[in-house]
Amino acid sequence: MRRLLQSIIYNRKLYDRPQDEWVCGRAAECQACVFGPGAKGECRATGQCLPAKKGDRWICTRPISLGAACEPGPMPDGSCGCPVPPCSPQRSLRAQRGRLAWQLTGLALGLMILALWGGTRNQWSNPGPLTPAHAMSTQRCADCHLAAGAPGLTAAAQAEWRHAHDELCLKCHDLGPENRSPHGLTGAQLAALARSGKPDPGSRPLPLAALHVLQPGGPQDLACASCHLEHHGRDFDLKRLTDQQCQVCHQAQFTSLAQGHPEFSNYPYTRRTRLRFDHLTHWQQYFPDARLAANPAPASCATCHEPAADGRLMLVRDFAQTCAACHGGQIEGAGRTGAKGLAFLRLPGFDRAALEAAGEVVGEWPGRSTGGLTPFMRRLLEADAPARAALQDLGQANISNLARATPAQKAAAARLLWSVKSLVADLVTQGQPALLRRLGPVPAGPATRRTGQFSADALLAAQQAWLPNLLSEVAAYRRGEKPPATSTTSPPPGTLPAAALEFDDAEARVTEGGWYRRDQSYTLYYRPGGHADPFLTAWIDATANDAAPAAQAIFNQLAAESAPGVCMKCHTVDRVAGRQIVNWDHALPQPTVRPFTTFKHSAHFSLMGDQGCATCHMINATADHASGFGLNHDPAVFQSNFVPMSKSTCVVCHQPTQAGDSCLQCHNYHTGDLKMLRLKMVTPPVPPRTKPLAGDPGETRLFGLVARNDRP
Amino acid sequence: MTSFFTRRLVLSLVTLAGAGGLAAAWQLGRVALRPVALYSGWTLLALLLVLTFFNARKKLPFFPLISASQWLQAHIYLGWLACVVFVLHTGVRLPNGAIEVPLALAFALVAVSGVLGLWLSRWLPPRLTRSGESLVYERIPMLRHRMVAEAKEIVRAAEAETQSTTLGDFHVRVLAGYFAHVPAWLAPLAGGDAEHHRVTLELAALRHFLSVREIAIADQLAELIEAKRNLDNQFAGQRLLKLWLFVHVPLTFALLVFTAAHVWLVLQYSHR
Amino acid sequence: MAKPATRPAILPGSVAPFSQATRQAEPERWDTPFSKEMTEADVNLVLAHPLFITTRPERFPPSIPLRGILKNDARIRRFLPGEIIVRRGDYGHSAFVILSGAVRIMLKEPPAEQLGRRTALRPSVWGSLKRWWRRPRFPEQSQASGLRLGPVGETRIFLQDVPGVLDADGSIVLKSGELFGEIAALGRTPRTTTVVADDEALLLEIRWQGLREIRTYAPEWKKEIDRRYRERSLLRHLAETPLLWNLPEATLHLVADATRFETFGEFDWHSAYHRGHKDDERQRLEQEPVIAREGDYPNGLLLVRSGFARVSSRYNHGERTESYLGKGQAFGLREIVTGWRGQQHVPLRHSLRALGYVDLLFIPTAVLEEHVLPRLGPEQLAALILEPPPGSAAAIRHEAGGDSFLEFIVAQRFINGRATMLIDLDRCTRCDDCVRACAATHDNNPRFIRQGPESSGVMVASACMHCVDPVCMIGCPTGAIYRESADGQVAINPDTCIGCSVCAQSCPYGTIQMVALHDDEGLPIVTEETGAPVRRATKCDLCIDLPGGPACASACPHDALLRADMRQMDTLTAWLQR
Repeated sequence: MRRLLQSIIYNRKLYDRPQDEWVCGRAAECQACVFGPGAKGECRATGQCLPAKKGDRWICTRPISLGAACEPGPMPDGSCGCPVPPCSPQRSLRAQRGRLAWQLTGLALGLMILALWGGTRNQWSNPGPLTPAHAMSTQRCADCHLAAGAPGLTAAAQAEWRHAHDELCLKCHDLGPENRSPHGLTGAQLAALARSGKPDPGSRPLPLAALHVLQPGGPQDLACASCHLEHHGRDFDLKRLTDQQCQVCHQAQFTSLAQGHPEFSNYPYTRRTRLRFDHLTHWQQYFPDARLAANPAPASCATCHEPAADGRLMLVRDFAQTCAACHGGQIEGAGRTGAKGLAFLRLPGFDRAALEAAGEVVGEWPGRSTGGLTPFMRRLLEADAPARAALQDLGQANISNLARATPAQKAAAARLLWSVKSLVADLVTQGQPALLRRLGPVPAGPATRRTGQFSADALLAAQQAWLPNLLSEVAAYRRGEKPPATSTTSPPPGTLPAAALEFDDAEARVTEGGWYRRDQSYTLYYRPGGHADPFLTAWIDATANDAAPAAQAIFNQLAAESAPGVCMKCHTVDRVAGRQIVNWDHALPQPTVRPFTTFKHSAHFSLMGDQGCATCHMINATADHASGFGLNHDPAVFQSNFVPMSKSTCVVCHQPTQAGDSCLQCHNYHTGDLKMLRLKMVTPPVPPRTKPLAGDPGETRLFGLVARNDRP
Repeated sequence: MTSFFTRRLVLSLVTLAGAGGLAAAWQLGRVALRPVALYSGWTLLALLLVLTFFNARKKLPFFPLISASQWLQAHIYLGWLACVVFVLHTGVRLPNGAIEVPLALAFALVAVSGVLGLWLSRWLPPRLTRSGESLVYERIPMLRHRMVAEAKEIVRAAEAETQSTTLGDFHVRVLAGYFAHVPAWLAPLAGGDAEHHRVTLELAALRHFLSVREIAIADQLAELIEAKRNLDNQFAGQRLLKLWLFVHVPLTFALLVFTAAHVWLVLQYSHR
Repeated sequence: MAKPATRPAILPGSVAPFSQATRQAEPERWDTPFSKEMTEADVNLVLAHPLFITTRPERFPPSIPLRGILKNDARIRRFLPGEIIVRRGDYGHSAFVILSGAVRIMLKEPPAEQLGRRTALRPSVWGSLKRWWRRPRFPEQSQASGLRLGPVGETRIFLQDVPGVLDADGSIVLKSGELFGEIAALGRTPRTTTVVADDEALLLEIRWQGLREIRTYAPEWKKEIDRRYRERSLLRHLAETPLLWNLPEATLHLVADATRFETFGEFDWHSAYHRGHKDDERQRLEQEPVIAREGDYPNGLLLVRSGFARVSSRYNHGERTESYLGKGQAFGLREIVTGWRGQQHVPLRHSLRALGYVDLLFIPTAVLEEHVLPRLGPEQLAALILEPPPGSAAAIRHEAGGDSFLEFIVAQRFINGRATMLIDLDRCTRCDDCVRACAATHDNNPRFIRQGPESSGVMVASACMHCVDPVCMIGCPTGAIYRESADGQVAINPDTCIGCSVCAQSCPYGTIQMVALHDDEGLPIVTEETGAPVRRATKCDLCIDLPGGPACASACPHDALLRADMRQMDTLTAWLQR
């Protein structure tokens, strides 16, 4: 029979009391006293029992469990015979555990109170590092969090709570007018999209379909924090968004780019090119043309095109590197029949005889001058009050034949004549300022050199040749005197002092462009001097949107395809909403505009096959490219040289396993004119103590970061 | 009466299903741009409170609430569920907030100690039973005390009777230490009766040199030694069974405090 | 450590190992007579009483003379008017003979509090919550109020407001020479009625042993007692037996007439049981009186009226326990039926031994074959054919922890339990939640000890088993220990317990603890007279006042604790083999 340590013989046991907090310190030595520890754990030992009085003698009442009556028995005075030395009661194991629990709780509580109400509460309550951008741009929790309170329980209260927080985000982030609406679209636009969206049941993933129920949608339900989670560490991608998350709002949902993504519509050709250039004809006719073999034909697209700095857009290299080879001379007028220059100023032919017969003072004026006013002169004269009046009084009368003109008209003709004289005199004596004064106040828009390099000297020379006494005459006329009756007719051109050398044709003297005159026709010309000629660009820009008939006359003259300088042979003029936009430039990057779809050419160069650019840009031989130009001035009306791209081209590489096909690879969520999501010009929150020296580096740093962050 | 196996199977399956459901819901909610962190957080809080209430149930045993065994089952399997929700809530990232780190740490410790305790509670009892007479933990020190005294007594009597100090020396050299010996904390995990083996072998070796009378006494001693083995096993085992709660329970309270702070912060600063 | 020196002195009155009783010339129980005050004069007075005139002393064996019986096994008690003699529901071990005066048998039970009983507690959460809130901090703290202190046996309880009660209901008056209380004494059944002294009455109280001797050696007594038993409770008892259900009234009477009473074993087996505790199981089994032996021919059906019997069969050189029989179970029926069907003699397959005390009804085979068996339906009979031998015993053997567990519970007499606390040691983490729960529901005092005999991984903790046969209730002087119902929990009324520790001594399982009471300062309460600490019997009350049932069971987190009714072996086995 196994040895039993604990006797299980009946009634020799006492109840164990595991629930008691204190245990007699002597329990381990089997000398626990009958009284046991007090409630506070104090020892209450006196003896092993309270002796009982039987008749006249005391008897020990020690319980059987402690070995029944003790040997020595009670003292005569009735106190216990085996006194128990006091012990120090022990806490029971369980009591110790409870104590530990409370201590730990207290510790934690104290820690939390210190943390959340102490001075450094912000550090403590920070659930994790911010991304660098926000870490640098914010100093206080209150910059991004509402000062106090907690969201209410009602849906409305919580929506309001979210809005309030979003306002804090929008304080810095400029998302345009519809800043809380998906894609920055207006409700109307969203509704329109929702109508147009055709769910494609075939490719629609089931979970997403289910989620459509979960996502109430609507702008008011989206908070910035729906997608942008902060405090997830420095390297956390704030803009991470899965395709499913993108699509959850969309009606037309699909699994991948290959499956279900809508087919492109005439991507990327949304307007006619700003420069009129027919790739088809150039590649198929001109470049192969043997007659043009002298000019180097471009080897590849790269000869004329280069990626922009950000590698997205492909730009056209400048004129010199591209078109100049063949079309350079055409601007100066090489091989041009007729005048290569533009008549700027001319002494018109007056019916001198009629005037003098009418008793008008004419003074010095070439008798053999013919021809009328140039549009430029008309523009300048109309800027002068008497001249304008004279022109009006003149009406339909022909100044070169006033035989049947009324006296008033004759008088007007005489005043006009003097106006021309004073115009010339002004231009000669004052030069460009006089010209500018006549052109009037500077119109809004880009500042251009409006005088177009007008040369006073050229005119001076002409004046001395044509009207030597002009200046004195005009001076006298302005004083109201009668002009000195000098030789009434200017000397004939033939009477110029004979020279040793022959003069070449005036026009041929300025092959690189510039001012020249023809004495036979008393006309001052300007010959265009190469690409981006300042005279032409200045006058075209100045008159493009000037309604005055004189201005329009100038514009029509210059904008004619055959006009000297042939600007409009390549540069197109867009008429949009009644305004005329002269496209001097090809398409340029617009950094402030975030398109919905972005494409980076440079990233794809290494992937092009032997097809080269033609892998994507295939020339469309059947397109009537010309129809988009010529008389048409609407940029939206066009036929591209190239076949619109199809999704399949992209799908070749953009598979989940290869180049990837996540939505955000090609699409931006925040679209529109967002100034690169640049922070608004709020004074950035800079702590007073760390006041920067000068130039507020905080700000520059800030914008630097933002600029880097906002590369779409 | 359903067997433990059936119950374990059913409850495990139910828990797995629940965990899967929660994970799926979390995933869907995340795709739908719902604040899943908040949702999972509240769920976790609710679970935490339910789990903690097990303690209250133990403190108020007379309530005809669900029986403690059912509570324990709920405690175990909801505990597993809470671990899953915790992982979802933290998004498998190590938190790096000044309050979130201790919070997560406390949770992890409580969970781990809980699992450990569960294992101990199922692994140790059969071993204790097989070791021999089951002893009441609080009495073990007394029993050890008595045992030391008895061994001394036996040996002293033997010396007086047989006029030989062999057993006495043996007692001084080996037995006294052995009977007074208190096993190490983790002794049960290491088998724990190496001491006993050593002593038994030494005693057996000693028998060759003992008289017939002494051998009888040696048998008594052997019986005591055997009893001491059981005593040590019972003591170490039961101590371990109580020890893990020293981690599990106190930390739970700290965990609650941290949780409260965390919830307060969220209510204060959450954007959603 | 078990030190023989500290072995408790067993209180007088309950010492008598049955094993020795047969060997000694004079019953050992006479060493400690029923009452020391019984003088020769008293004996003469009793013998002169008309009831004993007809009794012939010479019929008694010399070792047990009638005088000896009267001197040692009987005592004379004087009851004052209105004093309660026996109470309904009490377990008595003695019968009364009215020497003079009259007693009144209450046909209608007076209210409990009038009998000095505690009114049954209504279970309520709120109540227990309040109790828990107001729980004393010191062990066994109590106001020593309502204590009736005094030596055992002289406790007197009076029926309050006698006339009121008597007028209220009809009651039978017994006059001098009448005998009452013998059925409870012999049959170990609770008292069926309450008896109150009508006017001053002089009663002779004969304890069970003596009554048995008298019945054995004085045929007129036997005739009288058996007659009274037959008319009072035999029919009812037989009618309760399933086998005899479909018998017509007349036939039942025939069977009743043919029925014999058999008693085996020791009435207060529990005290002997403690003695025998250290003996090995085999000796113990051989000491158990054999009722029917394996291999004999069944000459009658044995119905267990009370007590327990062990069903065993020979196995190699020992006896293997197959099963055990409790109240209402029958032995030998299968053999009889099989024999009757096959027109042959079928020997008994098992032996039947008395576990402690067993009281049997014996119905002869002939009577069965004539009156009972023919009325059984074929399927009933088919169920009763021997081959193959099924039965719970086999089930238990192979399921409930094998032989050892059955042997264990039978040997330790745990079969007696209605709510035995079993602890599955393979599940129990020794967390003591059960004990704490018990303390929390009992004024911060545990009422059981998480320790006890173990077998095959199951521990029987020492918590009150609320026995089928509650020997602890025998001889409680104040009836403080009582049963909620005929078959309900055994509880102790702290207000009437006087700490005499008779129950604690009687409990064979040591589940009743005598605790010293403490006052509000936690110091022991002592009696004015002797200064001895006031003690009180405490035990598990199965949380009578708790809606959720026993707190210990519902507080175990590991499904390790069961309050098992040992009479329902199937649930037990189911639990054991989860």
